[in-house]
Amino acid sequence: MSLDPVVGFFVLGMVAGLLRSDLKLSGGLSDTLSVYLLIAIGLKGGIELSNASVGSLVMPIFVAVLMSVGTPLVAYPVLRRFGKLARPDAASIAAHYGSVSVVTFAVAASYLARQGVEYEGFMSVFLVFLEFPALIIGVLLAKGIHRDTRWRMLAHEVLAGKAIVLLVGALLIGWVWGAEATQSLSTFYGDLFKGLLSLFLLGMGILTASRFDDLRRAGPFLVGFGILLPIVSAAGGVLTGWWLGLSLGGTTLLAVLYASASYIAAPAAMRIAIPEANPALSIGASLGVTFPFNVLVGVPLYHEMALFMYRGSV
Amino acid sequence: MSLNRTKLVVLICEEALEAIVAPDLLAAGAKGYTVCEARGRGSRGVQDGRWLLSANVRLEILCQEEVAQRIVELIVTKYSDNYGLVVYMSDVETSRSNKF
Repeated sequence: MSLDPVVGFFVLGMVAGLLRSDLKLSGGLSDTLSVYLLIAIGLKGGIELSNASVGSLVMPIFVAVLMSVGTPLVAYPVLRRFGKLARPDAASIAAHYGSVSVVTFAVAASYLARQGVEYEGFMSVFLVFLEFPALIIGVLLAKGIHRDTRWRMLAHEVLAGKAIVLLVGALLIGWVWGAEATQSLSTFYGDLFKGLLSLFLLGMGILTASRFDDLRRAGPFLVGFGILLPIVSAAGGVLTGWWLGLSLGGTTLLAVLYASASYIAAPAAMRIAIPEANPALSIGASLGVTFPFNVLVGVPLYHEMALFMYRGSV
Repeated sequence: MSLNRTKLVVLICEEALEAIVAPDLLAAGAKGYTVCEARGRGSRGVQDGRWLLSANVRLEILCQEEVAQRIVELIVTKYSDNYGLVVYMSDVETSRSNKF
């Protein structure tokens, strides 16, 4: 079985949700687990960063962010023209797909580790920089540069949001103290990581199952969109990673980041900035279709796509 | 103990609206409000607030009648199109009503 066992817990959660089991995880647990996952991912990246030269990362990050803008700019006209969606809905969905999912990234990193594929440890720095540009583009697509937009509140929500604060904070801690000094934390943030990720995925499975109803309302277009757009974005990620000279594993992770859709940061930001957009459509697509697709099929597929690219270029 | 008639405005809405609506409440003349998490079912389906999404909040505002009217009107005209919310008011009797 090439899929990671943590994915099994996601499926278990979905099955429990579909069976209407009384299995419920509390909101407090989801908060705790997401804090843990963000710190663990940030810390790992920071420790790796302490062995790399930070200056050499500026260019790759700049290019990766620039290319990531492609996802919402492709998604928006497709949603408008073929999906016949209203402007705020199309813009909000485009923002969700342009932003990233930390848990999809974590699942992909576990997958690569299980396959024995090395990747650049500083990939979590990319996470930080790929999360928010698409949210701003989404708002611009919906409203243009409009005076009414709650820009200040949006900026605060995005930049001072839990995800960015914890990722950046843990990155800095890992970077400042380095591998040796943070050794005492490695049992908690390293060895326990997959166990706690499996709990989070169990909760995600239950949540995904509860979103299937939204999908029925959203219709087949969004289901197709939620599968095809990530594959196109992943292809863009593979090309970008290859062009930047990342390793096979790093390119796979970049493809996963491009393919993943946000379901925590983006919904919160879009409720503030584009309240006219129907959240059931965007969350239904990103959580009901794209997250399960990426976790179950996408991650191995994007790895194969990267392998194809790297074999072809040798 | 003397009790005075005051209005109680209750707003039940999605969590995202709390931070947006709070400054409006104060601007409309409310001197404070109380918030707690809420869950239930309505026209937008079940809001159980258990895992990451779908939490609701319940805001209670004690105030004088004209402030209450202003708050309800403002919430309905400004937010009811785009946010899931329920707002209602009732008469209550409070001690130390000069606080509201």
